[in-house]
Amino acid sequence: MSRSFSVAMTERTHRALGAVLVRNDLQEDVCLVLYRASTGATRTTALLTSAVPPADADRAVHGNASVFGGYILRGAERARDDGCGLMFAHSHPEAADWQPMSGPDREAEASYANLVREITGLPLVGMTLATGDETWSARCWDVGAGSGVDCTHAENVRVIGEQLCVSWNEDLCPSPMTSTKQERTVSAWGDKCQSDLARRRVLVVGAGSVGMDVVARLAASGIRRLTVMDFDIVEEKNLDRLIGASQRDVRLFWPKIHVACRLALASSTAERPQFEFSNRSVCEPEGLSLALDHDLIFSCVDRPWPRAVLNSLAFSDLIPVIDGGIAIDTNRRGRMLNATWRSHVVRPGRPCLACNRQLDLALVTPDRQGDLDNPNYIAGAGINPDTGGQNVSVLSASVSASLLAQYVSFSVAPGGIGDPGPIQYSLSSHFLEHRDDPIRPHCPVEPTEAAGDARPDLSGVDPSAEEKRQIATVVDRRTRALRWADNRVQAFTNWLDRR
Amino acid sequence: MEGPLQAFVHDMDGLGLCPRVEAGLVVCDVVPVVGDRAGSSLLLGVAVEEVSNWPLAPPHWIHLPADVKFRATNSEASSKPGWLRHSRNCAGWGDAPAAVCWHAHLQAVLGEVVG
Repeated sequence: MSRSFSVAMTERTHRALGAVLVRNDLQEDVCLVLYRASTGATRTTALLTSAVPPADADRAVHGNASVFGGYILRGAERARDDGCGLMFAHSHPEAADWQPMSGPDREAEASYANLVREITGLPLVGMTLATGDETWSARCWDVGAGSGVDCTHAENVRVIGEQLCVSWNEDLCPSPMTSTKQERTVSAWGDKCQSDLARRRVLVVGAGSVGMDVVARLAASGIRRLTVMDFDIVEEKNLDRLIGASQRDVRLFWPKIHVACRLALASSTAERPQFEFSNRSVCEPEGLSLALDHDLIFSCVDRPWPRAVLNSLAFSDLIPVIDGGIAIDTNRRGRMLNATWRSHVVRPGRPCLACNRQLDLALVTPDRQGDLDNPNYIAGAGINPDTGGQNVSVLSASVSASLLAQYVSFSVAPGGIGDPGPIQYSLSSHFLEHRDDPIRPHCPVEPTEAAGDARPDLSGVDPSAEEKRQIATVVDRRTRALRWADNRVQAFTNWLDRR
Repeated sequence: MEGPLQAFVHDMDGLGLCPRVEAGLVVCDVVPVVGDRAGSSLLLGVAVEEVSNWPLAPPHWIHLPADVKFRATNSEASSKPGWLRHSRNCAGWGDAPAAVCWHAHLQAVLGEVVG
């Protein structure tokens, strides 16, 4: 299978490029930008870092723009010195939508592709900005060499700011047809928005009480490319919150992703959903690699290690993470005092999970080493395993609602207002608070913005994931037979749903 | 970008703690400013594998010679013979650089040493 290609940048970079490429005299212009690669399981993303604006002598503007070799050479040498690749951008004044390549555009980029790869060791990336509607198009000159050099067209270009704005390559990712099943949804935000949301690659990490609800609602909204990642199995203690799971899932040691699959397929309104269900941990290299293939991630996990990994990806790989959680306070007699739930979009320009006090970095290392599951360690540390972790299904729906509301604001920007920032709801007083935790001056996560494959590596062997996968895989003959029957019933139900 | 181990060693060196790698530990000399051992240098270490998250996440276990005692501790055998590792949570990064916060954490831990 050939790898797909994508480009991501912050809104800050988009504005910096626009300042060069969008001219008042409506002429074309050019600009070089450095990029770092982010290599996922099936997709490579070029993450734009810093612009190398042209000097007057670097190009001739005559309606179109002709770039001179010295500028490309200077940009390529700077990219090499910074361990980056080079991107060459030009504008199409007043044009709209994803731009096909004209003969002269192709010729210009191809003529520099070999030189740039020779100097930087990375393929040249070409981009076009249609200034009429600020749509980007992109390609990577990674096929062949010499006179046979050719490009892989990007499936999309993502700009991450107050809103996630995605430019789509209609040839590679055609706009999906909407159906009467989505009539009410489309009437809420329009065809264009539905077409955008339906094509995004969305990952839900954690199919627990919140994640399962998020999965079902995303599927119902018409999303076509949804991935659910969870290594855990359904246990009896989950049944008071895991909507869609039943005693039979406990008996058959079904993984949570099995329930998620059932729920997603039953809820989906997309014509040909491309759902993927992974029993990996996002902390494992394979899970991390899969996560990098996505445009947006929902973090529905509560352990410090996976949250630290997702927190890092939001900055290093420019994949926005919608995160949230609930804390329930009880007194010593077990009576509820209050419950608070929070939600936030983690992305450059907003505080990371540690800065907004939603991740205790001190717990990441012990979690990674398995100390938080080690009874001897827990006893020695004086931790009471029966405290904390309180949750009830009637409130986890509020958490998922809060995450989904963040998703809608970040994606649709109702009334022109995008990401609202971190919010916190207090149940006892029913008070909604906009949190303004600052980005700490020495935050260690923020400097990793757009580091891509040079990101600090938090991944590793996750023994708890291996253990749970083992439980789910090694089952007795009777359970295997019951699973077979369960799958047949499910296949028939899916067939009925699709008729 | 330098790797996490190099970054940690570089940061500890910047604090004048003379870091070196011994028996799978990054060992440093720290002079406690408070507590029973205030003013005299103590050797302590953290596991190289725990430094792999630096500076995104701090190490957890502090390795010390077995004769270094605390009133209360959660300790286990260290990878370095004759040493113990003590469970100590670093209380976040605060507003200072990671290295400074880590040094403050070490000082707080060593301030609890008795005898």
